Amino acid sequence: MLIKLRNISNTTIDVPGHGMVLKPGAAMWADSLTADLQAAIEGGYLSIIDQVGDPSSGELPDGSVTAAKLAAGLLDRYVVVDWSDPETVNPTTQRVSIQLKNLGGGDIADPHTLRVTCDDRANMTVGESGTILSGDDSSDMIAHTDPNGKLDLIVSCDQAITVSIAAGPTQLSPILDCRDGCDISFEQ
Amino acid sequence: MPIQDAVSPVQKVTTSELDKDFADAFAVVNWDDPGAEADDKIAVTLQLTNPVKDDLAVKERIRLTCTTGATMNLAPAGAGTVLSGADSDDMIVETDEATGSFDLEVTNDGAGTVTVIGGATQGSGFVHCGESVDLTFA
Repeated sequence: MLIKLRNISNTTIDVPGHGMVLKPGAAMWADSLTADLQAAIEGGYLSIIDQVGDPSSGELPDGSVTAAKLAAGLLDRYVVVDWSDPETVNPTTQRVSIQLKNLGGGDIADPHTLRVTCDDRANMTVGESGTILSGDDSSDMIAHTDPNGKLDLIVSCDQAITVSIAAGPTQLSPILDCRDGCDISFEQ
Repeated sequence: MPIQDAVSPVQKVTTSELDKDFADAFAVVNWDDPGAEADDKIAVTLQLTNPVKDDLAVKERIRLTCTTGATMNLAPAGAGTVLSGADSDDMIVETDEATGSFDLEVTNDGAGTVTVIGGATQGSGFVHCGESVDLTFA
């Protein structure tokens, strides 16, 4: 059984028996409702906001743990590449951004390394956000996102074609989900 | 008390306790038993599962490479799609969306063992490719 508790008091509190402190509004998981935790609930410091499993056993039922029940730090270990809508800069140039997300859909504010490739009739450079590591002004680059997890790409193409762009893992990459790509239409 | 003790309940979660949608976010590459050799060709199916070993019916992009000298392609009428590198020792494929499988056919003129390994590439999701397959040609 897991119990999720939230500090509903106005002050930071020591969590009885758990050797940690919770700021007002912060939450934590506990594996049982001990007498100390019960006392903290009755004292108006903690409230139960979620519960998983049978209180009579120490086990979780199969299939009960969703991504939303992962701690934020663990969620951010699984990085999902999310694309913005392309914006036209001029007839041969468009801008598109990658934002790294976690499994819960929240932004990941960390610099990570990606390989980005596109149709070899187009070239890419990095815009305002992010840093190029190799392959500047080419169709195959390795780049860092900025500290907010964002990478701006400037894509140039002088033909009337749709340019497909794909991201992928490379050296230094985290665990990445790059299933979504991006298609940009150029019309000269 | 160190923080790892304070959060020990989370460390007790096992793969079987994962919600199906959560587990299905992670693909694992598995190889079926290879078929018999015929005309210097051996067929073998790559099947995706989730971490709790259930078949995972998704389209996943995987790079396949094999021992130099052998070549790979989609088996005739097989499931899946070759995106690049057909009839070579290095290709990128998509599994079949309806089954999560890719029917591979490997050709090798000589005798010996051909090893095929998968890996994540451009456009891949969370995919674990820790298992390879060895094909023995007579």
